[in-house]
Parts: sequence; structure tokens; C-alpha cells
Amino acid sequence: MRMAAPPDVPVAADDAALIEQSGHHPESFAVLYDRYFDEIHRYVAGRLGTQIADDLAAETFLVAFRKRQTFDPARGAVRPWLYGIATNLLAQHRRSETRRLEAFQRAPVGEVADDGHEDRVTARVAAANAQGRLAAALGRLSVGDRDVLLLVALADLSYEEVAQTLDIPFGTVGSRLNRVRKKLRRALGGVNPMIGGFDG
Amino acid sequence: MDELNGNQADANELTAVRDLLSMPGPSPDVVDSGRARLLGALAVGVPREEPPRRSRWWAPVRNGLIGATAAAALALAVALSSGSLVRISPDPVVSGPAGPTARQILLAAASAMARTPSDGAYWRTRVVSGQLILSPDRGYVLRRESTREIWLSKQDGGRDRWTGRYLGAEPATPQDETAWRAAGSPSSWQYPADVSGLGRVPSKALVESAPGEPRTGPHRVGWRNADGILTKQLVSWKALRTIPSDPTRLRAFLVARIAREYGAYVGREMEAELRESCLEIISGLPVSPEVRSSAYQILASMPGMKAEGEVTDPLGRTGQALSYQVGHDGQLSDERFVIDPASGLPLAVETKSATKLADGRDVETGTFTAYQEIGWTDQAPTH
Repeated sequence: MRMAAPPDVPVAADDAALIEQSGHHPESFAVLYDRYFDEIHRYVAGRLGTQIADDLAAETFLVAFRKRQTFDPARGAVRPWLYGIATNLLAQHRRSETRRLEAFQRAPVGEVADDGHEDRVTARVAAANAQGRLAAALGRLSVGDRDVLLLVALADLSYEEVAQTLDIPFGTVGSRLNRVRKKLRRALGGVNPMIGGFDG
Repeated sequence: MDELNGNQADANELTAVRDLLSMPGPSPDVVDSGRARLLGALAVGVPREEPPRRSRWWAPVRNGLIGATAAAALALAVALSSGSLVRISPDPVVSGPAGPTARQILLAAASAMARTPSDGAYWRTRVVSGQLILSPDRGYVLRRESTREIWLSKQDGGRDRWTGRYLGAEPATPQDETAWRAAGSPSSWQYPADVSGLGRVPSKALVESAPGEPRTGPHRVGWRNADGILTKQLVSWKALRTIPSDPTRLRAFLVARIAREYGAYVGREMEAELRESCLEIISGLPVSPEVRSSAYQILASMPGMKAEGEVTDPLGRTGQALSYQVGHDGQLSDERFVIDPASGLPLAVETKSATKLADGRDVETGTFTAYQEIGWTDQAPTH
């Protein structure tokens, strides 16, 4: 790890050094914002929708700045620390997450009939049903299981980063994820949900 | 770490979840307002590590010194909206015998840039590009140059013109000239298929010492050939006008654009990309002086630029140099940006790397782009 550098020295400071510098040079913290705002926003938007994410992602960095003295480089990197803060803030919006998942169980069936081809329509209806089942299964997950799943699926964190984010043992991440995936596989029942209306 | 996230054949559920839930990234406005909120918090987050033992008359002074950089960053945020730019006053703590800091140079350039003409019939840029390359036998260093001028008409794209000329190649220094004479004063150099270690020269190139004929034609490619984040996509005047001129909004615009270009995971590449985009704006994008001034202000607020003092650029002009590291294909190299502080105009961007000739002499290969004209003009192209 690099040492904290005075602001005029040409190094691409690593995340932890930026937090250290922000003690004396608060503007260093803005560099972390530029590095991570986009991905934190995507993570939150994936769970709560864009509107709440607009506010909550910004709030994540305000909280992080206020709590920057509590960041301990020995316990993990800055990225999972930020995801941890975002995930804690998310907890205050559980109902929004539930509503969003419920909406997915209703929505996609409506937009079926555009090319009219019989097989295609059937496939789309099946896919829409699969999406609904997936959303329902996600809604039934425990909070801890859902956090692990979505940190991996949406934020692309490694097991180690997930462990740091949620402050749980490394092994727990793997076992929770395995359990969750089994549930989801059952819910999907072998149908590819991606023939539906989403551009994935 | 990716392999930890499960084997690919078994990742269907994760993909399905991602596809179901994923949303597009934040809009520039959201990036902007979030950043403004954070900057607001940073402004009041001045460290309180020193116990306030001095009289209340001292306290603001101390805070002023500790928070000088923060204050500068914040002044930037309001500089253009209030219409009065940051003026650089000598700061005894930071400057002194060592000369101005990178931040001071950039802010001075921002201030000078804002006073340049903001309109004209044509946007004109003239650059000299050069390469320092080893001769094929690694006996001496050659300097090869060409020039290119572009005129873009705001009124009528059909009047866009470019003109260019190969300026020739010659030994780079008197020492190189001696070695060149000893080699029989060749007037052309045939390069092999493998040019690794020789500097930036195409494989199998025939490099001529004599200048070429001037060439000219209608300018059609627009910005499509460029590989910057901005010029890759922005091709129309209309699109150029959407670039915000306020420094904080410009920053948000660029950050959002870079993030979109990369997908979500820019991480540590962000500053390098942001710096490159700012340099791109400063060194030739036909935008208002305010936008270009803001690009300087963003550079001034970023870590990683180091003042090198007064230098001579490849065309023999003096200016203030700033150095920084760039990564290309996983390799770090040093780049130098030379500014004329009086006009705020960039003079040159140079890269150099150390190498050895066949006889063991230490030399440098590299590339440069020197800017002779950047800006609006009412002159018309003469060709």
C-alpha cells in the first residue's frame, strides 16, 4: 500500500490513502466519489429503483465522509466499506424493495403481443412468468441471503468483499449463496427468463 | 476474484437476477448534485485535530492554511457561476523558491483561458506532431515531424478544410548528427518488420528525410477518428453545445460519460480518464472558453499532476511543465504537459522513455504534439 502523499505528488493514490489524506485534505474524498458513485448508484437502483438510488447513493458518500475515521484499512478495502454503508442505508427501505419485486411479478405480461408469432408469444409468456417467479422468490429470501445474492449479482463483489461488506465470515458467504441459488433455480424451473421484454 | 463467484455454467440464476433488476447508471444531473452535496459536507469537514488554544483571531488563519486546498476546490465550484474567476495570489506557504504548484499553474491557465475569444467563423487548430525514433541500426536518434491544420466552419460543414504536410526527418541532436554523418548521411531509412524498442514508427516504414508536398482537402472525418471519450461520440456542433461550462457540471458530465463508456466499474481508472478528457477539451475541442477554462479547473482539483517548472517545448517555446503518469496497455509512462501561463493555451504534450543506442549511449525516444493554433478565428482558410 502506498503512503499518503501530499496533494501535489503524482501518484494515483489508492483508496485507503485517499481516506487518510481526507483527514487534512477533505477534497481527497471527492476522488472516491468519482471512483465509486456510479457503481454504488447502480447497486442501489437495482434494489430500490432509480429514484431512491439518486438520493441514497449520494447519502452513502456523506455518511462515509462523516464516518471516515472509523474506516480501518486492516479490516478491508474501501469499496466493500462503501457497499456496507449503502447496504445499511438500504435496510431503511425494505418496503420499497418489496414493492419493487411485487411490481415485477405483475408487469411484464402486458407487453407480449408485438410480433404476433405464436411460438414467440408463448415463449414470452413463459419468460414473463419466470420473471414473476424469480421476483417472488427474491421477495421470499431472508434479508441476509438477499444481501449476499445482490452484492454478488448486482455489484459483482468477490466473496471476500461480500464478507467485508456485511461483516460476516468468508465461509458464510459461500453457504448463503449456494442456498439462495438452489432456491432460485427451483423457482425458475428450467425456463430461460430472458426471452421476455428485457433487453438482456 | 471472478472465479470465486461461481463457475460460469452454473451462473444462470445470477444472470437472471442481474437482468431482472439492473438499471441504467445515474444521469449527469444526479452525479452532479450528489457531488455538490458531498462538497458541501467537505467544506464544513475541516479537521479539528488542533485544539483551539490560540485567540479567536488566529483560528480562521489556521483553518485557512489547513483547508487551503479545500477552499481552492470550493472556490472552483462557484468561480464561473459568479462570473469572477479565481485569481492566484502568491501563497508564501505553498510557492516560495520552489515555484508555483501544479494547482496554481492550472488555475492561472483557467483564468487566462476564460479571456480568449469566444467566437469566430472558424474553429482552427494547427498542430505539429513528432516522433523521436532510433535509426534502424540503433546508431542515432531521428526526429520526424508532420503538421496538420483543421478549419471547421460553424455555418457550413461543407467548408471544413484540412491541410497537412510531412515536414521530414533529421538527426535529433548535434551528437546524433555526427553519428548520422559517420553512417554516410543517409537520406532515407528502411525500417524492419520488428520495430520494437525503436520508438513509435510503423513496421516496415520507409522514413524519408525530405519534406513531403503540402496536402489539403475537405475535412470529413470530423472527430470520428479520435479515440478520446468525448471525440469518440461527439460529432455535431449541437452535441458539442451540450457540454456544460460550469466546472462541477462539466465534471459530472465527464464522469457520467466515462462511466457509461466503461460500464459500471471504472474504479481507479477514473482520474486518468477524467484527466485525458480535460486535456482533450483544452487541446482542441471547439467549445467555449468557459468550458475549456473549467477543464483546467477540474485538472487543478485532481491529484497526480506535478509542477516541473519552466521548460522549453519541442518547438523551442518556453512554458510551465506539468508531469503525470499514464498507463497504456498496462505500462506506466511519464507524460509532460506544457502550458503558456500568459494565454492559458497548451503548448505541447510529450511522452518520453529512456533507451540505449547500439554503442551504449543513453538517449530518449518519444512522441510529442505541439499546438501552434487553437481557437476561434474570423480568418478564412487560404487553400
